[in-house]
Amino acid sequence: MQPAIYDWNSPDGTSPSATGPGGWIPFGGGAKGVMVVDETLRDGLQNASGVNPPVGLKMDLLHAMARVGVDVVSVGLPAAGARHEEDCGLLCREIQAARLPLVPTAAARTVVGDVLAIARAAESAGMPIEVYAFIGSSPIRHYSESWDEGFLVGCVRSAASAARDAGLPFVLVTEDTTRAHPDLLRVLYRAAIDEGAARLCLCDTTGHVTPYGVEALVGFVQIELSEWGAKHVGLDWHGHNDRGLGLPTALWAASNGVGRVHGTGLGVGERVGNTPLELLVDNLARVGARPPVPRKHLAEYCELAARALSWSLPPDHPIAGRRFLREASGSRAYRVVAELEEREEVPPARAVGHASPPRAPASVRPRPLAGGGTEPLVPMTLRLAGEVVQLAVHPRRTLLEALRYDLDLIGTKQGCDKGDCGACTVLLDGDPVLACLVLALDADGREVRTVEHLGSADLDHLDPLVDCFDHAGGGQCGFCTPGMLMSATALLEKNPRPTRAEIKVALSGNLCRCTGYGPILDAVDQAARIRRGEADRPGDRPFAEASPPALASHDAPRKQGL
Amino acid sequence: MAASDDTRVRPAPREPAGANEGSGLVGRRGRALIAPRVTGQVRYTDDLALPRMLFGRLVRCPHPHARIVGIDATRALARPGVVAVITGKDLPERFGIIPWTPDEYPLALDRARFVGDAVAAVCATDERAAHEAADLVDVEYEILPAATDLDGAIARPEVGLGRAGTDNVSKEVALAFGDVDGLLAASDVVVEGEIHYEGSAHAPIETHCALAQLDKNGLLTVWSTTQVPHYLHRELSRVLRLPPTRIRVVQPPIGGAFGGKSEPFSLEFCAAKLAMVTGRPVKFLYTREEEFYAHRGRHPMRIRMKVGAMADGTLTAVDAETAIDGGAYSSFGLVTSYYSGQLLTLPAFAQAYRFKSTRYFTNKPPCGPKRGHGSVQPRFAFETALDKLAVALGLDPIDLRRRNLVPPDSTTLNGLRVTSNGIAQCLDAVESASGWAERRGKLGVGRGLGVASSAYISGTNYAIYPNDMPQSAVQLKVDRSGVVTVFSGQSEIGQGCDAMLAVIVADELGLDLGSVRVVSGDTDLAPVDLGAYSSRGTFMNGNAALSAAREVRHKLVAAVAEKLGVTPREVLVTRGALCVAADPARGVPVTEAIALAEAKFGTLGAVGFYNTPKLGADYRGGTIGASPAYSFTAHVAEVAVDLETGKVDVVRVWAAHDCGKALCPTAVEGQIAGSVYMGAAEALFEEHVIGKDGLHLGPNLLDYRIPTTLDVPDIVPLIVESDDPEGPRGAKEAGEGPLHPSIPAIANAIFDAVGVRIDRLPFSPSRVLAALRAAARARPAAE
Repeated sequence: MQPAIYDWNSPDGTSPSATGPGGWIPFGGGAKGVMVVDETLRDGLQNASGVNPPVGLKMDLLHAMARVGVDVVSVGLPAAGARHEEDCGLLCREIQAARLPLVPTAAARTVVGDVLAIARAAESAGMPIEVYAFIGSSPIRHYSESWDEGFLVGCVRSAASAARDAGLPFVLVTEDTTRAHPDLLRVLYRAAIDEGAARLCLCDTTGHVTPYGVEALVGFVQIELSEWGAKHVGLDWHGHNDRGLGLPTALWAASNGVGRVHGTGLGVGERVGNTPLELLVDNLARVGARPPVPRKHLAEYCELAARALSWSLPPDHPIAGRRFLREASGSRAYRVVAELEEREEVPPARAVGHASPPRAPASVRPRPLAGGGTEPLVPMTLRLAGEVVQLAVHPRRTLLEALRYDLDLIGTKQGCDKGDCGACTVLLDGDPVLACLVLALDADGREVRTVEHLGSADLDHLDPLVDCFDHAGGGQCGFCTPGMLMSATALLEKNPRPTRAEIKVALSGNLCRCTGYGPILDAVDQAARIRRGEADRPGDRPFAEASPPALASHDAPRKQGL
Repeated sequence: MAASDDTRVRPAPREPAGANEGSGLVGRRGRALIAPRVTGQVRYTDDLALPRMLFGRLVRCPHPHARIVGIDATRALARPGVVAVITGKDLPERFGIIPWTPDEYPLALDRARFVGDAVAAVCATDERAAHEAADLVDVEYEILPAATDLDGAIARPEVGLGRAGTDNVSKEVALAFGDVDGLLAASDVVVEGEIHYEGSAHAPIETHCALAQLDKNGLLTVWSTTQVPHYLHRELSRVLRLPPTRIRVVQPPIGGAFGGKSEPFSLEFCAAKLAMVTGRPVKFLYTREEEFYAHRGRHPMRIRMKVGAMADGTLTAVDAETAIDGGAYSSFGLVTSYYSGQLLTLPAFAQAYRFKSTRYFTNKPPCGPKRGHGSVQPRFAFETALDKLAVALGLDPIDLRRRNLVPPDSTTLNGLRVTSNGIAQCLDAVESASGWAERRGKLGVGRGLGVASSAYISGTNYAIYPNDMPQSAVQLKVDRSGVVTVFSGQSEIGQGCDAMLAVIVADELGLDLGSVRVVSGDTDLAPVDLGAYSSRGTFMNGNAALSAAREVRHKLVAAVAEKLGVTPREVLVTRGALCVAADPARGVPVTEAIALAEAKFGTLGAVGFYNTPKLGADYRGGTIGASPAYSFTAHVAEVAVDLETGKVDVVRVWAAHDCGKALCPTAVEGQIAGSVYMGAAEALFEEHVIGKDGLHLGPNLLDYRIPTTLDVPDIVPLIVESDDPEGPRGAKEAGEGPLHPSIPAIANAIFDAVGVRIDRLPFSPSRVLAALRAAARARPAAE
């Protein structure tokens, strides 16, 4: 069977873990069996939203973590307050009670009191919690805090010994490792290992490192450990995303033999965030380092993480974004492949590569049902005339259908439903779009302006465009007119003084079958003049000429009658 | 077709013209008063939704010609959301817009005759489910031999699409007037040519839509995008076998029709039937693709025509033979066949005429009436022949036409009565506006001017079904607040007939245009009007409204005269008030006049109606083409032809149209410009091509290319007013006539520009280029 794609990642169809040309470490090589540490409930909560979600949400997220194969979870920073300490204990108990295959960890400063808070949480949960104790390690931090080497070593030793005394595994987290001097790192790591540290966590706290830097740093530490005879000490990688390299550097650390890599849900975290955990899990599966996870579990994880973090899921998120559902030509095929991957639960890298198993062509797959069944309604909002309107739509609903059939904004017309006629033109965040080609969910949270916004019950406030269309005979049957008006509105907002040729171009996507366009062009030209204050509005208003006056007021004095 | 005794109602005698007519609103330029339409805030059919509404979808035949062996809806009915499926057996009653040729079923009963013929209908709880369920209806077909073009229909009678099944003939018409052969033989010049026209679609921006509801009293209401609510009312009764008293047809505002909505379609019957079956409202909305298959567009025609003339330019005789490709069903085809010959004898014509038109059935979407029904194609043949004659005789083409004009108040060769006739003024107007005399022949290489002229009916003299009742009527309701409501059976399809009625009534009663409401297109609310076709609205419905408004005006005048102590003849109706003509300071506001009249005569209201005088010649077919008035048009087109690519750019078209009297000049100009646009589009772009397999080559608005803002010529509409003696305030039609000269004027301009004649539409770059190359090859040989 002809494979669906040609895979440049492994052109000869070899396993992705095989040694690459030139003896380089192949991407994903060495990552086999790497563990994933979920920092969402710790670093993730450092994000700008500043919330600490109810523990129930945190527990839901724990379960989702287990379903996507997370191995190690940070349950928080107990020393941050009583509630945090309590939550950490409750989360650990939930891990025990639900038998979640998660190793709990918690964060601490390299301060004895912080370690003791973890010890209390562990006590209340009745299970050990690994202590991830952090300390700044780069010269700039030392300079700004006026720290010296002796102080740092003292902190590390006291924290590590406190953990040892409490019977908890100790991990030294050196913040800003990627900008720390190797001499200091040697000193700190020796101190920690001397006190019985189980692991060292290398941090790219400022999102500074490139894959080359990862390779150099990890190699340096590995050599040191080897020389110290401390190969039992494991390594963690904790990266941030300032350069957008959070994910690649984490993958590269794993390829270089780091045993645990960190991430947070949606990559949300301090400042610009961390390595996105769901993409980390997905990619590690794609390079063959970890078992694949069904997309729906990842999507569910993302949704729960977003909820816990008070974050909104970006519509273009690669796994959980609503646009994943888009069926426009081209991307449809990708989606079919993605769905096949899930159904057959084969490793994704193989499903899109050369490997069998033979798959049924898309055409014989059972089709999704509409009108109930498999398509749930998705809540969304639109901003219409300054008002936020809430509605729920099927993912396949077009913006045109949502406007016309869900919101009864019938001014926007359907002439072809395939982007040929322009009758459904509306303004999306100020730009003219064809509402029949925009999925409603793509407009979620955005501002939509329709022809209804140009009209008014009060003639004096009628948009000059509408007025001029009526006066010049710019509309006959009126069906294309709303779309014309919206295209013209967009034009005049960008170009208040358009030439006739510019008007023609701006309206060339709107078909009219009645007028021959001449009066339409005249109307737009005249409306532009009125808006610029160079012309008066057409005067012949209805009811202006030969209508009787309003009936006399009841409040006015009466001369006669009852 | 409708021979009957001469017992028709005559038009109301006209008031003496002069000061005592109207109040100065007629003919005034102003807004169309369609602001609600312009803002999209009137509800077109698809803008209507009813509680628990179901969505329908037709199952269409994928073969050009097939016998239906069996239909199995099991899979469709099992689909969640599907409520009902019906087939032809549920509606086994033929229909057809022409009572003599009912040959359609709402759903094909045993034979599907074109790709797209409806064979079953599905309804479901949402539109997507309905569309998907339609694909699940399993239809077993036995494929039959098919004829998918004119040649196939002529060469293969055994396909058997005709009535008797032994040929493919739909209608044959052969008429002759005078000694054609003798006059042609005696002519100094005879030109002969053959033109091909592949047909075109209406392509309104609003597709067909119908919504039906059966209420608990058993009343069936059908909202439809129809331009003939009355005929739909009748056909629904026939097909559904329901008394008409149980049916109400409502025609919401229409988003463009152009003739494409002037007969019943499958969707109206199926929506109604499914509403009756399910007890829930059912809506059908045709997709853009279905719109192209439902069609009823302009007929493909192949016309061979000979025209003779004497050396002085006097036309002698015309001999025409026309093959018409009718598509799968009759539709208006009987009329089309006559119109292809009968409407040619104005405005400039010969002394003898013979035409033979044969309409063939083919396995293609059915053709019907499109703006300028049946007469646009022969007009192209004839007006280009006149151009050839002018060249051959060394005459100015405008002068050639002038020498042969049929005069006002005369009868044509084929017996059409002509009253007002402004063609001479139309020719003068375009000649002068285009700078014809100064510019023609001096525009340089690749640029040229062309002229053409035409005439068209203002309504037909006979209803589609023979009867002696009025063709059109209105009822006026006068409210003491000063509001007058016009209830009219006319169909507002964007042509502006509601505004026309408002202007006539407001003008007659001195009212503000805003005080006149028009309620139209509802068989429960309005009296019968036959519909928006044959350019009959202004002439017939306008006359009906005028007659009702005059009745009310008489009462207002009488009441005011009594109040002011003068005779009614002394009272003048002005804008807003009725006053004494000799002393305008003495008067009462219209609202007060209405109150006075209501006190004097009781509740005010009036009925107005119109019927045509008996017209038409005394031969079979002699009534088809008979109209109470004819409009006249002349165009001059200026084109620029790119000699390297063959691309024709229509730079400008001057279009002068005799509409009798422009009641609403903006609307008349809109109709002229819209007609010119549509004709130019057919000349340059549009071609409704069906492949050998019966499939449309591009059933969407990207492939079926209609012009955009960037493609249209500058159009200069010129209004000519000949003041028709029988038209309302002198008015005649403006909606269809101005289209006719478009194609030949452009064709003649192309000849003037580059010296080639393109006899096949559209004048695409490849055709023009091929003609230019052929001419270049022929030239050295000729030297």
